[in-house]
Amino acid sequence: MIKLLLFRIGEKRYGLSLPSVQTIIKTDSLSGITTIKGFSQTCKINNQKLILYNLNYILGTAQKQQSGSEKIILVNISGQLMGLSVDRLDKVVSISEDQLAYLPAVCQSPASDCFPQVLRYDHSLILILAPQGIEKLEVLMPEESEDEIIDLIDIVEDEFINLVFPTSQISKEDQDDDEDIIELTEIVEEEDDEIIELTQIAEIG
Amino acid sequence: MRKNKSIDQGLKGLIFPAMIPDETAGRQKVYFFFSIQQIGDIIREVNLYPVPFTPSYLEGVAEWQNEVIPVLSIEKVLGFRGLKNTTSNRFLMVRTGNGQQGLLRVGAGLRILALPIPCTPVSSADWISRIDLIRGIYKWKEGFLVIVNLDSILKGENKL
Repeated sequence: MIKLLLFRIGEKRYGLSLPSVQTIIKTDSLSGITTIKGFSQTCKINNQKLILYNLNYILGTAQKQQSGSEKIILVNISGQLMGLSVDRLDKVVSISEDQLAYLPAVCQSPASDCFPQVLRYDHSLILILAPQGIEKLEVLMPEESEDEIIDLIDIVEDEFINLVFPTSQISKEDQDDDEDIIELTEIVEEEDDEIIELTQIAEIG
Repeated sequence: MRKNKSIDQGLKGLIFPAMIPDETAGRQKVYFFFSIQQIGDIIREVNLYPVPFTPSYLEGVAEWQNEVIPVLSIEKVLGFRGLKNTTSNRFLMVRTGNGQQGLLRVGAGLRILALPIPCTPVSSADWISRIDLIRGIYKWKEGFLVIVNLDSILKGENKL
C-alpha cells in the first residue's frame, strides 16, 4: 500500500507522498509571517535554510483570503528540506499501486515534472505533486538579502510537529497543552477507515 | 497537373469539421480525417481535470475506461486561433497503434464516410502553422481533409 497526504489548493485536491512529509506546521502560528506572498520565501528552521513555496500562488488561485486553515508541509527531498504552503489539509489515504497512473506524455514538462502521477480516487482524479518539480519551475524570484530571510527557529521551536519522533515520546498532557499540534483527526470531518492517525505517521518517519 | 488519388485508410473513415474561423483556408471548409481504427468512442460529457503548467491546447486529463487520458483541442495543437464552438461537450476518443490515447473536443458534424474518398493531395498550406504535425492535406469536394500525425501529438512531440 502507498500512503498519500491529500491537501487542497482552493477547491482542488492534490496529493503528496506521505513518507516525504517530515513536519506540518500551521501558517498562522508563525508570528513572523501572516501571509506568504509571491512564489516563494526563504526561511530557516532549526538552523536549516529552506525555501517555502506558496502553492496557492503557484497553482493559480492567488488573491484569496486567508481562512486560518492554511498549513505548511515540510518535505524532505533527497536530504533537502522544502516547505509547501497549502490552503487546507484533507486526509491521509492508503492506496494500491494500480490506482496510480502516469501523467500522459502529451502533458510534457514542466507539468510532468510537477505532477508525474495521477491518482484515481473517490470517482475523481487527483494530481500527485512531486515537490522537486516545483523547484524546477522557471519563475523569476527576486534576490533576497540575508536580512530578509525569516528565521523560524524562535517562532516555531515548540510549535511544529516533528513526525520523526514516535508519538510515545510525547506525553498525552503535552499534546493537550499544545494547540498547534496538528492531529489528522482534525483534518477530516467524519470517520474514515483510510485515515491514518498521527501516531501511525510518526512511525513512518 | 496533379493526378487524383484516394485516401486508403481501410473501409471507412470518420471526418469532422475543424472549429476554426470560416476565412482560415480561403473560406474552404476544413475537416479532420481519422481512420475507423483510430476511433475508440464518441463521448458526451467528461469530468475534466485541468493540469497546471500545460500548453493551452491541453484542456486537462480525464478518466475513460479506467485509463487516465489527455483531453486536447486538435485545432489549438495545430496552431489555429479564434476557435468557435469551443464549449461543445462532445469528445472523440482517438488512439494510435502503439497504445497512445486521447480525447479530442469536437463540435457537430461528425460523419462516417466510405473509402476511398476522391481527393487530391495539397503540397502546401500556409494556413496551418504546425505543418510538422500533419501527415497529409487533401482537397476534396467539400473543402480540405487534414490527416494529423496523432502518434507524434500524443507522444508529446508537439512542443511549442
